Amino acid sequence: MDDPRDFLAVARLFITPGAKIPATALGYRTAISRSYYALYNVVCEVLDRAEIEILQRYKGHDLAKQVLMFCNDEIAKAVGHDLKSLQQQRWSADYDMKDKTIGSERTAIACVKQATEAIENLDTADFDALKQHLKQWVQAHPGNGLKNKT
Amino acid sequence: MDVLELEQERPVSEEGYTCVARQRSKPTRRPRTDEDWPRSDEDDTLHIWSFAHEGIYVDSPAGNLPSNSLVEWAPEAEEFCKRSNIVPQAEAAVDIVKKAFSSLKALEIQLQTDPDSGETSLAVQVTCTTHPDEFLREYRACMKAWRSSIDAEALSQVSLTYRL
Repeated sequence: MDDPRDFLAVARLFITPGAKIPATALGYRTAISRSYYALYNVVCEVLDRAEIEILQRYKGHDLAKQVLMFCNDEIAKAVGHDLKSLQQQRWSADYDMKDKTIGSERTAIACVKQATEAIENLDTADFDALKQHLKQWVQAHPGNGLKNKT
Repeated sequence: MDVLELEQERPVSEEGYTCVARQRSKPTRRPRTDEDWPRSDEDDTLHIWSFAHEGIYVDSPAGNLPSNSLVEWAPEAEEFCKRSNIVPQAEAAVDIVKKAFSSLKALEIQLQTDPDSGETSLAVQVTCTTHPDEFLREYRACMKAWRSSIDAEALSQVSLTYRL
């Protein structure tokens, strides 16, 4: 299985001075997009480890944000808001070609760092506590598109 | 197309892809003033706590923002706040943002539409001139203040985006 954290390594190729990939606005947009997907897929990995199933895959992005932001866990809340912020950065980066401000080096660097820090926070969190908080919220909110497997 | 025109996002489908399109309409964009928001007679003022330890100092009640040409509200964003009953929370979020970033160059409040689900939410977009490391430090403090001051339900409808 591929490690979603490796998306960050791809993203860094586009923001590293002297890399073989020329610095362009489209490259910076790509770095922003990969940053979001790195974090989103790590969140999905955490939900899977916590034995939480996303029943409606097409709503996965919203459901992942929702459980993180609303559960009773400070690390999860912070990561949930990172996910939301990076998702909206990605919308501009991937879809809005008229936005001349999104494809900047500094914005791309900040997005890569934001995703990196959020993933580090998840990776170093007390997983048992995090799992408990996530599952409690899912249990208390049936019919929201998430399900505790156990 | 005039880049200064108002950018109002709406989802469109094009060649099999869903994408964000920006509907341009210039006329009504302006700095908002205190008179723009309806006032409630009820004592439901949202108090914003002071975050001295984070370098954020907010001690004024929400709903009492000074006029500031730095802040630009898109009309549809104001409508969204009224419709969603999150006016005081949105004002509190903006007030915190204004104090959180040391190099704030522009602050725009817009509606952003999820290109996949079509759902809309309020996007508070800051433009700053700081180094990304410094910006992220301020961003973290700002988000911590948001989470401490604004209820989760309202906050789920607001997001902070940035341009450096």
